[in-house]
Amino acid sequence: MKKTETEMGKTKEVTSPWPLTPNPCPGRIHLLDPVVAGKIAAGEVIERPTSVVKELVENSIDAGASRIDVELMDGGKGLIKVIDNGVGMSPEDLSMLFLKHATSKISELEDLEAIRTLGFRGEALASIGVVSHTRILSCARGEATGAELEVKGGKRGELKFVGAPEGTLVEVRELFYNVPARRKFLKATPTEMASISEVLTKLALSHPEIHFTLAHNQREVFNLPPSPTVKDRIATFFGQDFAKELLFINSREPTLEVSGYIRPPAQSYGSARMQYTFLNGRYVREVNISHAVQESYRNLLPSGRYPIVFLFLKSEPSLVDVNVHPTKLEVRFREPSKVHGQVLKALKNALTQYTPKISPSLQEAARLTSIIQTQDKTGFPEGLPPSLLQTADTQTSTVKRELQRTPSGPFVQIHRTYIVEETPKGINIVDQHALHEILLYTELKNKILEGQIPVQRLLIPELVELNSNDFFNIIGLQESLARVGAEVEEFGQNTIIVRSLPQMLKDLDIKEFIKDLTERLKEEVEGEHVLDKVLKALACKGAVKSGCRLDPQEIQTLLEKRNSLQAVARCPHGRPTTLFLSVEELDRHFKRRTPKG
Amino acid sequence: MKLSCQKSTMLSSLQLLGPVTAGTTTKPILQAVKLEAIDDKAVLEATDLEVGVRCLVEPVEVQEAGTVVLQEGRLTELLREWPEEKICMETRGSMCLLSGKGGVFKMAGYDPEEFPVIPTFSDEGSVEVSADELEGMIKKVVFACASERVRHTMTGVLFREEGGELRMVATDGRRLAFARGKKSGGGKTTMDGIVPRRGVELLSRIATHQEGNVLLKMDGTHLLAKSGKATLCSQLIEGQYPNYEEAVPKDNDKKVEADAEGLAAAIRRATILTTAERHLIKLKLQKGMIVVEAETPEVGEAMVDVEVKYSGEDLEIGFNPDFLLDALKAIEKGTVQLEFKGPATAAIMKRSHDFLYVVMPIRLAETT
Repeated sequence: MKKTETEMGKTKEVTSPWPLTPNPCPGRIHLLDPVVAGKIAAGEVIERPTSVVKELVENSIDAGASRIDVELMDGGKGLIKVIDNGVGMSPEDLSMLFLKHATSKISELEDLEAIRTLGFRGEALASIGVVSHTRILSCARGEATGAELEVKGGKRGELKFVGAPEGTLVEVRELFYNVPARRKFLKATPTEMASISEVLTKLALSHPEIHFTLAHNQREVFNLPPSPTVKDRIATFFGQDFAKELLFINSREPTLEVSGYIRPPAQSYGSARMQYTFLNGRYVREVNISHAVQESYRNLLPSGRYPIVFLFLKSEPSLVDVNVHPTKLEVRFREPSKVHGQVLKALKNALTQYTPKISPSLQEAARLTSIIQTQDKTGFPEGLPPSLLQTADTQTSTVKRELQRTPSGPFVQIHRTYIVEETPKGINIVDQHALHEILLYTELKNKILEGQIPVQRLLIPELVELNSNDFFNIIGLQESLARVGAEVEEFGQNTIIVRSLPQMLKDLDIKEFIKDLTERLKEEVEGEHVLDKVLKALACKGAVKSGCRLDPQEIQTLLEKRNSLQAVARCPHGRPTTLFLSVEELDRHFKRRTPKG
Repeated sequence: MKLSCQKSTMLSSLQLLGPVTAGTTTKPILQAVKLEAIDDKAVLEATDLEVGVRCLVEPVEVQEAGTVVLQEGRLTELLREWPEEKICMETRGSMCLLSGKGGVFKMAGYDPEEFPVIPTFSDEGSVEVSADELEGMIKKVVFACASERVRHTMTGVLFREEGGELRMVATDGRRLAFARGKKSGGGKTTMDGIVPRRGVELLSRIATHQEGNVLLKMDGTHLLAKSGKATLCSQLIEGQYPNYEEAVPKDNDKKVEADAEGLAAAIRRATILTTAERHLIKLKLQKGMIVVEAETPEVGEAMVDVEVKYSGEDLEIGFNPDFLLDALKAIEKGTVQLEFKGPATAAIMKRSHDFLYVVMPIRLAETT
């Protein structure tokens, strides 16, 4: 009772008639206008259209909806509409809406200790109502009529009784119309769409039983019918092939259950973005879980690569605190080390049991290898490479012809990966991919600085199918891509078409390039550094790969170009391109000369 | 096995197999040839699992039937160095014995059971093409295949029988070459598949080295060919070949007739003043003339006038000179017909009925 009194008192103070505008004495402390205070508080929860979508869809999930439709205009800046078929609200409930801390989800302090719903603070709708023009239409389950309420800039309109289907519809227009500073800093439409799509991906992954649809500017982005399992939902997002190779994990302890799917180490990602971790149905980022994931793949992934995981943790609600951060992204466990240990063990178990499947052609190779090995055991002499066996007649062997073209230059390709080159003072061992990569990167950059780049149009344009966030990310990059000569356009749902490429990238694998680019991007799709990312991805995928045989002419060109450019010691990612061994070092190794002194 | 024959007979057959074994380096048995003596003939085989070639060794005297698998490089080398015209080979256990004035050589062989099986050729359901025609068609398209590293189906040549003629298509996504050829005979058959570049090149080689017409057929997963003493089997590339007909523009209204050799010479000269990073020439169409231009900041400028038959509007269009030269080389001499529409759309180069080439232009994009 006492608590209520103080709160009442506080409310009184706020509504008392202070001289608010203009403040006659700027230096004096005064209470904020409730509207201003509301806007500030709203800013903590509602940062951008994504936050609105997230809050509204979470409400729909909490309302027990089996279908949720999201419609957006202009990346949510024009309109965000969320329709669900959940339990809906009675007119009385509706009239309570938009009051701060009005919620049906918790009522006592003890409830905060054991939150089972996604939302709980009662802040979301109130905050959204303050910074937009919101209309809400709801009909409680089993009722014949519903009610409608509008709020603009925090001002509530009249409650109207209207006919409506069961469930709730929320329309948010003109987000941040009254917070120009915030509105100005909203990102470009594709950026916002990528972010919204990512948020919905997370919600949809944790609720495979719900039918989700997303439409943007009246075009369908995705339509996810209810899936019997999480794995099916993963498949609808990332493709059947992707889902086929997933490893199942499961570990159950009295207070915590860890289950989900992980990808074998051979398929990793360029960032930690493909680590989806959920706690009690909510997407979370928690340092102990992330660490355990990374740790379980240790020594299985090359550096800079991250595992792809979908983890679903179920814990006793009382053992975790989700009320740490307004966005509820962060959580705190009572016993973090226990969680770490259990996740680590679950993943390690799955990874140790996993044996890679061998494709038919590899099986053939394996069979042949075994033949070779038996031959070796019987003492059959290892043959010299055919190139050394043939003489005069150049017609008989292609290998032979290439050898004859070899200029007398002292270099050789080894293991189809490195070029070993004689220098006046020793030898250079050059990583062919890293060197080519920095050369392409530098050349592309130079051409851009010169202001012109030769662009080869494609006779047969390449179609690349993407998931929705990557699709929006790439569309957001259109301008940067065009600057380097890659014309990219939308081509139907989640598909892009590549119509031209810089001429100098003759062997660019377009699909690989687009994939690489999406991995590098995360969410930023604007600014100069993005152009740099595009260049790096182009250079990386346009460069000759390791394992690829180069003919001497190609090696010669590569080395000559290197000599004409500065700063080629490291590839754009910072890996070295060249290892130099001096004659002295070689002499010392072979004990040819005793070092002086 | 025991057989004897002229050294040159054996060598000429081995010569056809050399390119097959030379392609592989990791698996020793694929660097070997199988020599099989049956009744009164001998057959040599080599394969790298993608392509296989079988060649009759003829004439030959077979004293004892049997099979031996020997390292191709060493065998060829040894026969070349052999001082006598006639050779005699026989197996001793797993070894193969070659002896005479040149010395006594026992070569270790592989187990014939381990040698991969190459499908055999039967004439049934095949089409017949003259060797010249086939070789000519291959020459007109094979250069346009995509390099190994990009789109897989484009690394091969599409073989298709349509409208009673043979067609070949190759593209790397930037330009496309199309050739038509007459059949010399053969019954009804369906030929529609993508042959790997290696298979196409070997086919051309066999057609050149053997006499008479070439028989061709497809069995769904393989291209099979027979020419004289040799047969070839090449795996087909699985997948959907791009719709090439869609890539051929239908409304190019600026039509030029030029002398292929003269145009090629002009382009070659202008190309000297380009670089690898800016490999670009411009064609400027004017009445009665094409001006071939190159302009490379760090290298210089070139301008070559070529007289042509043209009466349409002026047009300026950029190209990778190599792409134009490839097509002109395939045309060799005579008149080339060029058809353009605009500076950003595909151009056509063709010669009469048998060769059509579509090439996309290059433009300079402003990067700022």
